[in-house]
Amino acid sequence: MSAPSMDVITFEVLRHRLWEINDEMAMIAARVSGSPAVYESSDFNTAILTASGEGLFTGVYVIRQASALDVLVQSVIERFAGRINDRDMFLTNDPWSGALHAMDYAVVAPIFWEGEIVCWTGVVMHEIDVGGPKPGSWTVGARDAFQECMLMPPVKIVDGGVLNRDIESIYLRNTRTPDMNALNLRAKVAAQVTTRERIRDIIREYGRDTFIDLQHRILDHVRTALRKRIGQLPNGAWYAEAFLDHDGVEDKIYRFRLKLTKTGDRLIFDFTGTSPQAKGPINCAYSGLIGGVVQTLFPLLCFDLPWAHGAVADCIEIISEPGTVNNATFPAATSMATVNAAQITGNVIWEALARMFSCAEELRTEVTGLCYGGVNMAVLAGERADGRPFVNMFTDSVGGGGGRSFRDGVDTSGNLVAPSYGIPNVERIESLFPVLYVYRKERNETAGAGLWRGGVGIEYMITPHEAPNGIEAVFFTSGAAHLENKGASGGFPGSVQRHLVLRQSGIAARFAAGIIPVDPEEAGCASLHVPAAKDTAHLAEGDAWLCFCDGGGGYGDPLDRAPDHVERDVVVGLCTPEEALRLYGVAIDAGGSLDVEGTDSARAAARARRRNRGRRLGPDWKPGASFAGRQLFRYGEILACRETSDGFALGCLRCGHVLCGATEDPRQRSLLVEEELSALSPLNRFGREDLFVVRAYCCPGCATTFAVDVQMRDDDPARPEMLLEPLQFTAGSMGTA
Amino acid sequence: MERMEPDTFRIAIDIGGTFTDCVVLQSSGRRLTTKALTTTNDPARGVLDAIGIAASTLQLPLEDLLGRTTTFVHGTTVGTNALAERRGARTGLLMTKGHEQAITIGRVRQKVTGLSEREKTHVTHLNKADPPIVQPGDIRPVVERIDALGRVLVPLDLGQAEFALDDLVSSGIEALAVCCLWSFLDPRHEEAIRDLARRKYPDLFVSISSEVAPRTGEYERCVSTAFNSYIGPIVGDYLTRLERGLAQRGMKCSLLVVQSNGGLGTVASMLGRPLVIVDSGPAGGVLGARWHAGLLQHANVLCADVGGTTFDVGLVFADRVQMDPAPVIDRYAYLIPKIYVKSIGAGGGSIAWIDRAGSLRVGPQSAGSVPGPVAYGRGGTRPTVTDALVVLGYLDPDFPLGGTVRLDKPAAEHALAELAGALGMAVLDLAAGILQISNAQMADLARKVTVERGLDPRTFVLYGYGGAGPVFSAFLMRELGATTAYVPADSGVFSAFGMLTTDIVFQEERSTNLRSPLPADGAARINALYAELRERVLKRFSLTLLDRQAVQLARSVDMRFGMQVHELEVDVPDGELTPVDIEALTRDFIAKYEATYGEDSAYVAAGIEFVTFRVTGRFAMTRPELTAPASREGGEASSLITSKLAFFAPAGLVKTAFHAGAMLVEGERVDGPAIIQRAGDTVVLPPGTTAMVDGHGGLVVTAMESAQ
Repeated sequence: MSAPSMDVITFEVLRHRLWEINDEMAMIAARVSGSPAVYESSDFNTAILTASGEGLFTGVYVIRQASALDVLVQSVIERFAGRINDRDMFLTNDPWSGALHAMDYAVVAPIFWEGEIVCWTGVVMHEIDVGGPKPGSWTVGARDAFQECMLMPPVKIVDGGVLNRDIESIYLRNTRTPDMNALNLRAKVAAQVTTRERIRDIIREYGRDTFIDLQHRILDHVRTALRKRIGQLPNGAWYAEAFLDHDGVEDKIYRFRLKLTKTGDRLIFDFTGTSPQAKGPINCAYSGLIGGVVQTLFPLLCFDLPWAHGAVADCIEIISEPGTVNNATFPAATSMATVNAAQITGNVIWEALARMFSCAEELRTEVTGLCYGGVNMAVLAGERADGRPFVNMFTDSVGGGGGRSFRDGVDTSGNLVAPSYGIPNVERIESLFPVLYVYRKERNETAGAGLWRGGVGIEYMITPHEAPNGIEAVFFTSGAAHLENKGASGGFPGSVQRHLVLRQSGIAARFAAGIIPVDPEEAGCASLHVPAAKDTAHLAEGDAWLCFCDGGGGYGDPLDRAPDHVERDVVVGLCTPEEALRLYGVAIDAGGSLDVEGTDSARAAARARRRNRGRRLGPDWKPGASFAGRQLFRYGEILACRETSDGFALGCLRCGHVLCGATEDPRQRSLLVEEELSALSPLNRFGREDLFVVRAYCCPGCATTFAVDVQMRDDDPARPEMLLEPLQFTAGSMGTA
Repeated sequence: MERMEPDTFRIAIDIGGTFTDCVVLQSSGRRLTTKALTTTNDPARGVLDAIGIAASTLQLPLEDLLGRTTTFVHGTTVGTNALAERRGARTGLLMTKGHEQAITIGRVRQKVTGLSEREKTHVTHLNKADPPIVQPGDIRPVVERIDALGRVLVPLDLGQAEFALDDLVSSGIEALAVCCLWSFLDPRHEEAIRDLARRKYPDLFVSISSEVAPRTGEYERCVSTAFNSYIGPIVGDYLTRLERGLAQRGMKCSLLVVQSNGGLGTVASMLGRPLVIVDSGPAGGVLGARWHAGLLQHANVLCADVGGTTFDVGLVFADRVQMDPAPVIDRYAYLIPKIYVKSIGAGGGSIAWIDRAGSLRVGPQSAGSVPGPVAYGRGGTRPTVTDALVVLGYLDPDFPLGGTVRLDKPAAEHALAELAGALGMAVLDLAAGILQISNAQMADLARKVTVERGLDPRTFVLYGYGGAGPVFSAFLMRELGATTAYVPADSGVFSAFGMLTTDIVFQEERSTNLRSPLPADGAARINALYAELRERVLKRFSLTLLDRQAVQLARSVDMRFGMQVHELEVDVPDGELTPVDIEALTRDFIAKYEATYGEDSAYVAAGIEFVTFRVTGRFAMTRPELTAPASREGGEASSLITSKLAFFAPAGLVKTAFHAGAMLVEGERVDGPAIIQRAGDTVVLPPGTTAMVDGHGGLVVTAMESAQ
């Protein structure tokens, strides 16, 4: 029986109402929880889903947490078939049932109307600790799931409106923070009880059929808009690769490989060739793969639409081999899934999307370099002076935003996929835990260079303060060995990110001398310990922990950046004079002002150096070919696709050089310039220069970069970035752009 | 026999974006309202214009009116505008070395602070405050460090601070803000820098965080201090000149200015702390609602202020105005006691349009007042909510809006017809649909501010005011499932009127690091702190030449559980506190927490923090009296003007009574469908609703059934 067709007015009224209800569910949950990770750092999310578990609305918090709720609800529906009743709720943290990792405990709830499920809701929060061998449950050293924290497959935590105290007590027994977790559990339940009543109000007012119809219409609405958006892009394939360093046990490198195919109004994400799953906690299960895909598609593709997973799922296809690092099978260790395999999954998509988007004018403003692509956090635990224990995840770590096609990336922006993320006040953390922040600042030498540069990352230094027995630290970082934040359209990558431990620092002596150090050299130390990307350390009194985070990837060739923008950055300390010269060819005189002539000659020299040092990956396409002709679309910052007298071709808008035929990959005939990691930033000396290299692909005509990649030294530099579908190139085809 | 004593006057002036509103209450009980155009470049001129119009209406020389004025209350957006438009003083910032970028980093969340969820979804286009209030190049570190226990780890290097100060001044700063970590525990470093700056640069406006906002949280405290310095010179100049100008024109009373906490203050009290008036604009309406709620015994009130471009919602419940725990201006979170108001872009000017997926949308873009709705005939071409109201027959072309704008109905119909054609709808159905979407958006916001606090909107009385509020009140009441709406008299100048219903209020507050269980000297420290805050409050009253004896003092403390973020204000009894009294406070806090956040929500294991202690002094002002006429002016038989067809969904076109608001008398009842045309606004009563004129000249709107 088909529901009565809804008029446009009712649709708009109810669409707005239901969207607001999801936002409010988040606020209610956060309000009852009151925990700083949830309330101040927004490490949680909510969603409303259809009766069959298709996501309708996802909150603007940590996106991946809620985007995998589809998987979770669908697994509950399957597992509890025939046993799902009114006012039931289900709890799980099992990655093979839709949770991302053990700390992300989700509660999902069916909403019934007259004996039938009409939709689902879900709330996920990151719990500070859910047990296991390491405080904070980021299980450095775990080789499989049995060495990590307890996994709870979906269980009926609320049975007909009654909380199951047995399950609650098992749950709370297995954590170092039982009171906090109890409150969060209550918050998840309470928010969904309120939401259930609000949704039932809609049904009371408008009827069950209208409500069901509404959900289909919302999915239709988003699907229609997405298909239009995708449809305007040329058909073809875009390629990207990313790395994940250190698996939590061994310092090994894992590779993520993506071929993104766009055909008609569909996107196909093919991860074939991605590394096998790790014997360490960085893996993610299928839930993390979905979370990683959707966390990037929502902000980049659905920026003006409801974040409806159900609609996105209908426009995409995902191809992945089980047993790989982002589609790991039980009993893989997964406690670090979110910020490792799931995050890196998002990164390869981001990179490929940025290339694809740069083919359409309407989407060009959505192109950005990567931003805080990995993670660089720590959990500190120990006892205060009065003997009370503490454990805290330090959420201060934030990278810089990616450079955009119209503007620099946001400095200390935090992650694209967690738009509402915030960091606590220093005074807040110092009042709660026995630590002292020596400094917390924006760090130059972290940002990716570009026509529009990436934002800079944060750096802070913390020393134990009134912690007589010292502090145990668990560090977890990705992007320590290589530059994870690649740039877009010829922009350079941001720096590595790391934790450093200053053994027997000179901080106390400096304080006593009336000096406040604001970098490790000023602080001084007996020895500098560089922990592995995933590691633990003991911080004794007098030691200090330093954390610096990667800046965002740049956009476009840095030699094209407005010199006065570089000058401004130098004046306020976001760029050192050395960086200005090395990356931008901008000369700053001893007084800190722009040297115009020096800049001109430095830039000319930099281009000449690219020509001299670079090597051609292939010969000219057709010697002397002219790039004149009808333009089909622009690609990236400097390239375009035109119908020339020699046929459809990709060429350079700056110098008119024709790179290659339209269906060839532009890298094949480009000028390749290799750079050592530390040529970009002195901080990169902490990375694995023995393994990785930066490769800049330039127009052979003018030596301007159109792509910059981070690759392993023995990787084939001619791996493609874009192969357009030949069938679309027939004379007079495709509109002029 | 009436005594022939001449009338005295109480005047309120509220500066809005377009109009400067003036309310004059006469001691004889009469009241007068006037409007003048806001003069943005020199707002004082608009103020004097509005009073001038009042004087000529009263047929009095301006000097006589001002000379016989006993109270002059003023709400100004001069500070808010200076912030929003970045017209404040170039402000230098001195902050603890190692933390001087706190305001720039903005706790990372600055890029989304204050944005709606819809705006947050466009992630690649988010930016931090731009341009920043303090330029990064105008920030200098000062060498000093205090820890969380208030101990000095690094003493202030005054020589270095002087060097930094000289450097800033020579680079051209016009105001200075100083913020040191933990200065609310020990303000001596900040005070030393302040004294130095005053000595060397007596003309430089200086704020220190331990005076402006001595509360925990260095980012928000720093923002507050920077705001204070940024607007200090402009606000001081404006208020001083206005007060002088009024005095020169014969005013003998002091100029009282509305603070964002809802109290009034004297100009002198604000010169050093202008931050207290920032974003006080919406306070007047909420204050007016609170006063009416007291008279009408409405326990829970939703304040709905509908203008041309924004819809503001505030809350009054259990006789208290809801305060904002985290006020925001233009992405900056700051710390100051401020009345809570939530805004969205919705109002008469909201534009109706079709999105790329073919759906009808209303707002958030607005036609504003220029070019305005199509019906205004000022060049607007895109159909707005106001145009829909004209097409529906609620706003009558024969009744000039605000006495001046004559509405062009055919133009509105034409604009809607285009949209209707694209959607395949009839024009009237589309107009009703636009109204319905607009109502739903406003109702969604009203639900949000209540539901998020665990409150049920159905238990609230909806107060509709602002230029367009009375149009929507009855619809919103229904939409929310509320039983009653209230449309006050003179709703268009309700904010100005509300300012005459409050008191002179001074507050002093300070954060501490005290937590339960308290140390042995805990009670003594709290008592000493309250004594200090009390003295500071009373000193401010003394400075304003008010009688200390008449000041009522109230004490409170904001408390929270350790590891939790929600603070709740708990009332503290008078007198010396004993450890037993303090124990009782923690019990009060736990009870209040559970009442607010739900049973078992208390997280007692983490201990309880005494975050901020506060003393509020209140000097009571005379309250106005409002009356409705008991008999019709000129002895007219009825308020009914005419009957016309108006469109109400789902009924369609129905015969609708049009009433003259000025002809309504106390106790009279008007049944919907009806339109009541009043001097400054139009009240719409859809079928099934009814309105009763109350003793204060307002309309109590209910559903027809419940009125019978």
